[in-house]
Amino acid sequence: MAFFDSLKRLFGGTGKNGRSGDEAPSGGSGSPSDADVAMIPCDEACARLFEYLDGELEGVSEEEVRRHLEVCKACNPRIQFEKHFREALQRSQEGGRVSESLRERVLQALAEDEGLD
Amino acid sequence: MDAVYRFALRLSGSRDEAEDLVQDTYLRAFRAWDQYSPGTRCKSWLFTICRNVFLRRRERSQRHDEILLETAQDDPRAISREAPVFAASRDQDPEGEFFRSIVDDQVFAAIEQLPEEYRLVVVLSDLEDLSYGEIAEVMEIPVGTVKSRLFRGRRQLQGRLYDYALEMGYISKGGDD
Repeated sequence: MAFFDSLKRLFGGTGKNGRSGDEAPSGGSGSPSDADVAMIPCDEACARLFEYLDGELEGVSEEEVRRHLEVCKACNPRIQFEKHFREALQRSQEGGRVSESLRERVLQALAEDEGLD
Repeated sequence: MDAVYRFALRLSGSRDEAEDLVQDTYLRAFRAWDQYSPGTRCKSWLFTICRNVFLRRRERSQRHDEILLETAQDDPRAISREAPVFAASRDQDPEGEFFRSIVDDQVFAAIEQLPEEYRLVVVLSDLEDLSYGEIAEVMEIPVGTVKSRLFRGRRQLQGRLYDYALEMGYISKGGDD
C-alpha cells in the first residue's frame, strides 16, 4: 500500500461544490431584457431560495430563479439577506484549525499503526 | 485535517474529545483505505467515519441522546416559507447587514446552541460545503430530511442571531428608530 499516497489523500483538502449563490445575482452583461424573461412567481422563487444558494435546484432552471432574483425588487433583498447570514457563519469558522501537536499525534499514530502490520 | 477537526468539535462540543475523534477517524480511515471509492469526496468520507466513531463512543459511554427521527415526507416547502427574521428586519435592514456586526464568537456559540440534528446539517452545508447528497450519506438520513433540517436550522440560527443583534443594539425592533 502506498503509505504516503494514502496520507496525502487523507490530509489533503478537496474542492468545494460550485455554489450558484456565489456568483449571483450580479447580472451578466449578456442577460436578456426583462421583457424577454418569462418570470416565475415570487412565491416559487423564494421557495427555491435555499436550493438555489446551495446549488441544488431541481425541476426548475437555475437561470429562471437567478433572473427572478436579479429583477424582482421584492425578492432581491431576500437573497442578499441569506448571503449575509451565510457569510457570518463562514467567518466564525476561520479559527477552527488543528494544533501542530494534534497533527503530529495523528501522524505518529498512523505511523505506529502502519508499523504493526 | 482542519475540516475533520471542526466537524468533530461540532459533534462533541469539547476540544479534548474532538482531538481524540480526529485521531480515531484518521486511524480508521487509514485502515479502511481500500474501501474508499474514488469519486467520493474524501472529506465527506472522513466526516462519515468521524460521525460513526462519535456515535460508537457515545453509545459506549451511555450518553446516547435520541436522535430526532424525521420522516422522509417532511417536505421543507410544506413548512411556512416566511422567514421570520427577514420579515422582522425588512423595514430597516432588508439585506441583513446586521449579520456583519455580530462577532464571530457569538455566531460560533449560536451554532453550538442549535439542536444536534440541525447543527450538523447546517455545519456540513454552510461551513463545509457538502452537497445535500453528501450530507445525507454522512448523516444517514434521506435528502428530504437534509433539506427540512437545513431549513429549520437556518431559521433558528437567524432567530438567535437576530435576538443577539437586538440585544446589542445593532438593530432595533421594527417601528423603533
